[in-house]
Amino acid sequence: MMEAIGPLLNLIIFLLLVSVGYFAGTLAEKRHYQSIQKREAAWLRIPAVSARFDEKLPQASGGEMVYGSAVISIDYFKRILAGLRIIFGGRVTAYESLIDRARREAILRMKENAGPNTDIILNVRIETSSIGNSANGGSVGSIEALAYGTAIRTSQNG
Amino acid sequence: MVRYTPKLPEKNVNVTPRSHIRELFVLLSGLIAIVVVVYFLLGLVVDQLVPYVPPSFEKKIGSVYLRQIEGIDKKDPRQPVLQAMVDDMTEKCVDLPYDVEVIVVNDQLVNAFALPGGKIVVFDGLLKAVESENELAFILGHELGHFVNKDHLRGLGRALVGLSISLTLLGTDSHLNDMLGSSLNLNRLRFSQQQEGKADIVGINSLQCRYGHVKGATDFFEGLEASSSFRQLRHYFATHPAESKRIDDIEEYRIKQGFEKKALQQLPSVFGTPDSTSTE
Repeated sequence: MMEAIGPLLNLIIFLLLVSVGYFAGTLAEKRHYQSIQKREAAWLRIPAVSARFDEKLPQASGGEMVYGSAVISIDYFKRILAGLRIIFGGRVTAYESLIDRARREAILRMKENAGPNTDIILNVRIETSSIGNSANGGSVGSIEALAYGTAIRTSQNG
Repeated sequence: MVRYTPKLPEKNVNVTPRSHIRELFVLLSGLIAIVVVVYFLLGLVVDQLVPYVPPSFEKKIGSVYLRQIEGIDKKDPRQPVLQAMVDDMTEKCVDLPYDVEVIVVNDQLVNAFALPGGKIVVFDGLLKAVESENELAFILGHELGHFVNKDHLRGLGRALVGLSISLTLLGTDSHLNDMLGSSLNLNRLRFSQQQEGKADIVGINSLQCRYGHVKGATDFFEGLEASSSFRQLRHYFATHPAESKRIDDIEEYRIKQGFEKKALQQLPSVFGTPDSTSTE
């Protein structure tokens, strides 16, 4: 009887972590998406495009590199769900929202970095990397998205 | 020239709108189903392989467990008596390819179990609880039955299968492995109802063979009401449906075989008088 308490305690802690991961993770995601949508609408005026512009931009008064990066962590629930996906294969839908949030947050931060006087951000690139891997498992800890591009300002905007 | 008109995307194509909770349950139940099937199939393989395990290997496994048992009393005066009973039974009644050794452990557990490699471990608590030699002989015969059927190897084999599956799926660093690993502990190894029933048959046969009658066979489960110190336990045994079914099965087998019930044999004096005045 006594020997069963240790493993049982481990199981309870595990289930607790999974539910904390689910509820806290879902709440954080919901609030983050609300913030992203609000700020995306506010920064919609400034285009961020991936096109390269080889020709001269005579009206441009200045150009500088702007960047934004965001790191989003997985939660315990998503880790378990993705762990099951490793066995069965298929789309890891649990991680999709993480990448999506990181990318959109990074672009928003890049625009915030460029400032409201920017006319356009050219040559935008997005890079993703996983950081904070746990030492023993090699599983994903959190993901980083880095967005960078060239902010162009015209003389009118100063 | 392309004209840029800023607009927000209408829907997010990068995130699958799917319930993660539902996904977790679907995947988890799929995984559990697969594990159960694999465990069952490998269990059948274990059953097929067990008859081919040589006694020498069995002895090796047994010695690993023996080292973990604390409180072995080699000088217990009851040990030679138990040993003589077991020797007598293995010689005349139960066919085993090796000698069986009885080990008395100074512990108040009312229990006895069969270790791989021909060791029967009997706890002091059990020796204090039994009231007749016949009852004791039945318990020893029952444990010999586990040896005959190689139940301990089947149990160990299944526990190993379970541990291997969990190691494969979850890696070495997992709570579940600790849990399954502890199931390899012989104290916690449970035999199936069917295995216990088969061992009971060996037990009752060896009673008939040794004494010419089978009175006392079911005493361990039902007949210990006189002493109160183990009432809780006995209450459990008597009311537990599985245990009362065992009593019924033993009785049914007795009638079918035409085994009689005659006078019980007293325990040798080294066992002392049964404790019947406990105040607990």
